[in-house]
Amino acid sequence: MAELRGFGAINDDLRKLGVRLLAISVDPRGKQQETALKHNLPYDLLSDEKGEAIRAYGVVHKGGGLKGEDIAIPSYFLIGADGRVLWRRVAARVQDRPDPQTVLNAVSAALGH
Amino acid sequence: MSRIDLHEKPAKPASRALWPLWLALAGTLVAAPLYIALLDSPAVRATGWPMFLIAGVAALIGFRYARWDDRLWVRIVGGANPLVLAVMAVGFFWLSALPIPQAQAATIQQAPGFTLWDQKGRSVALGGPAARGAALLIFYRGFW
Repeated sequence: MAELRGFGAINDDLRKLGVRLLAISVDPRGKQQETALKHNLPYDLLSDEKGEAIRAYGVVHKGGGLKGEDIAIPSYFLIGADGRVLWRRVAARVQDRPDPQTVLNAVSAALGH
Repeated sequence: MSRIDLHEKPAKPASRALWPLWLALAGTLVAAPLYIALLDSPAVRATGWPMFLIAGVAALIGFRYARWDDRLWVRIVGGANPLVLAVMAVGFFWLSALPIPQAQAATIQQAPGFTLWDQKGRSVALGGPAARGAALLIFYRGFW
């Protein structure tokens, strides 16, 4: 979970911008509790076991899980206080992850700072 | 006048030193674990350059043995290096492709609302009247 660890490092900066970081996957709550503890993550993980949020945002990887279950395509959505999507990024490959610092800059720019 | 024999093989040592071969094999074996160890670096993760650099040099050395050595087992061990490189390249550049997201990933303007449970058993609502403040959603693959 190199990606989630990396975002832990910019959590404080995001808070200063008034942005709450939320990570979402289809993992059950127990698994996420484990992940959060193991990597000492300073933000919350949301369990989307039924894939509702993943479907709503259009980032379903059909049959992408180890047992052929539907999982999320790695992606980011910045939601403004007014509920509008201000910035988004969807990965094209499994190893395609942005530098958290780049994401922080993009978020800052999208919020007009 | 001496006749040139076209079928004569060029002169070469019957057995060349083997340490470069072992070095290449070690490089090939260490390349993928090294990539896993360096996953925390986004630049390494995205390009895999340390893995391909080491495995690439190892493949070149291995290829020389596979092509020109007299001993069969040396040719096999040498040839294994470029083979492993090829498998890694296929996995990295081809098998790693993710599906194209559904249309709404690019088109939604208003964030769809949802209510989900967090890892501590608290209900978290996004969108709708319960929304307050900005949020950065990270969708991740999970199941690790």
